[in-house]
Amino acid sequence: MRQSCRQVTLLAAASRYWSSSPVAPPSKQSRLLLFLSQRFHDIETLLSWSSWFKNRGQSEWFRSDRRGKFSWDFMNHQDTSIEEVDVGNTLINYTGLENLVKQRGLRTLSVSGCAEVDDWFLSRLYMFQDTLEELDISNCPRISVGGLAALQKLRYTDQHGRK
Amino acid sequence: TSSGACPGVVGRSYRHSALRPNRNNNTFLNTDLENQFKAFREKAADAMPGSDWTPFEKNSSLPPERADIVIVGGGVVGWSIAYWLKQKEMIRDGVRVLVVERDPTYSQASTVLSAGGIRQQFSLPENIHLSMASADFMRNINEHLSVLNDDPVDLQFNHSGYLFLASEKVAHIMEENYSTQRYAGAKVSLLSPTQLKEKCPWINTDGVVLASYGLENEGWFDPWMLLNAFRRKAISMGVYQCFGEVTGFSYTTNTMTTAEGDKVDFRRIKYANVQMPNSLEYQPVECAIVVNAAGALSGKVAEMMGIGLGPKDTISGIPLPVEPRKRFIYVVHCPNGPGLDTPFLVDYSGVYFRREGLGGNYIAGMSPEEEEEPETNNLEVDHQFFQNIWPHLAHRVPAFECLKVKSAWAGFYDYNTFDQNGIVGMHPLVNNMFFATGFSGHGLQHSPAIGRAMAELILDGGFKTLDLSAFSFKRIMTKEPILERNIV
Repeated sequence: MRQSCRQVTLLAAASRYWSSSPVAPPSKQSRLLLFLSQRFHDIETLLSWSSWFKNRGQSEWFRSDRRGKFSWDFMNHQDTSIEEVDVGNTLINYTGLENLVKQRGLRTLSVSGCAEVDDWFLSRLYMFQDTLEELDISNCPRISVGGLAALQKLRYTDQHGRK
Repeated sequence: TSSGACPGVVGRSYRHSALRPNRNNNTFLNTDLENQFKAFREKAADAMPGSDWTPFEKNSSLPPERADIVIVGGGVVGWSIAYWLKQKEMIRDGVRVLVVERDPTYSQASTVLSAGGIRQQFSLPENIHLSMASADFMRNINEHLSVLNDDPVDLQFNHSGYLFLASEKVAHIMEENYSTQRYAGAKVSLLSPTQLKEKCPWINTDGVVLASYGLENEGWFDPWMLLNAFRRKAISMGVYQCFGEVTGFSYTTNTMTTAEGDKVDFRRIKYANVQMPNSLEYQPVECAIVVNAAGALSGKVAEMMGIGLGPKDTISGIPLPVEPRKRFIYVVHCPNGPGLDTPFLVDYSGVYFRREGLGGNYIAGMSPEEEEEPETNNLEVDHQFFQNIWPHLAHRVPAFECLKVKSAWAGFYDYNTFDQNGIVGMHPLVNNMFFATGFSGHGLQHSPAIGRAMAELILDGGFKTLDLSAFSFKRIMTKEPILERNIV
């Protein structure tokens, strides 16, 4: 399914860009934020691309602009690991975390406003337990107490969340 | 198939000819004749023995007269098998499945009295895979079990993980189990006493040499929700439910002679007698396959077939080694106990506890020694038994020195006296009886995967996704137990 997903994205319109997941060697100190959009979604959600784009003011962040064009600058930093990820208001779910598995240096993760983030997603965040410092799970309607119990595995984290 | 009594034969044929679309453009006489023939053929088919039609009124709480597969036992394993059978049938209404449960209130059913935990920390790879497959099922439960226009299923799954503690003597077993679990793909981590203390400051690590913590797919959930989700979905797919007790079977016997000249009886079940509750009325259900998923009472059901009643040194003399064992669970309240992130802790002394709700309540229990097994003729709780549990609890968690027992309940394990692992598969001498029982406390957490495996065995002829041939009845005949090497 992953293979067909890649092929579909290759064949899709030219304005569709996706990020490559950099390999995880020792990280540089630079702050990189990659706004990873298409790669995190299930096949079904490939159809609803337009809702994911979010404006961020800072120039350090890699994002797609108003017209859907995604700059290729991140390719210059191919060997660094990502430190902050913001996938707010997207349809990321448990399977989508596969793409983040290699990011051993992740410090901030924001999934605010994601409708598909549920307790099982939270239970999988243990893979960032040593490095994650901030986790934003506000406005995720499917999270319950059972998922919050899973967050005990994250040791250094401040958690912001509200229903 | 059409079902139910109908008022009159003549009225029926007119109704059908009125509903039949008239494709034929021939003369009026020809069209009407064609319809009459079709109606006549339908009537004849209904009158033949294979159909459900009967000219007499019958009690609607009785099960149907014929079913393809009768599942004895309406617990979570029985309903899981029913769901998967309907899920895997190749054509619509391919198999008629009947689930027979004797207690509509589920007052003594092991499913609903369970603590509801699920873990991957076993020593047998089959058990680990069963748990992982079941956790996958529960993660996507609404894809499997949601019913149109009905509420989505909410299992109230707490992802707190299981924490096993090992003393000096058993630490090596824990390390071996850890490598088996990692090899099978379970996400488990080992903790030293210092790491353990850092993670759970409320623990007293005295005597603990190693701890094993499940990172993913472990925790506890509501068993009643799972049972009802399976039941609701299976009934929506056409499974028949009957509240009654299977009191006996009618079978045919085929005697064959072995090479040594011994006679062996091969039996084939023809009818399962289902008796209505509080009544002498019973219905013999003609069936092709019977699945014994009766939990703690599976031994009795097997005896009805004569399994175990033959001469001592023959296969027919080997009974189904499943019997009920009573286990107690105590609800305690401790105001200063460990908080939201308490895992399901299992100590090497055999004591376990987990958080229950958000009000400072915990449930605790312990498996008794063989000699101290309580009586199983009722579900009364022995409150004195808690005195065996409390010292270990207080030693492990100092905050539990001042706790108060709020209430308690008891439930049965379908305990496999042979090796405490499930029995899945056919019986060698009864050609159409399948077993899915004897899970000794793990039936609930393995039920989705067991249901799928049984459906594959029955409909596909063999295991397809998970190979559970290690759990067949054969090991009981050859007396080779596969034991779970737990630390308790």
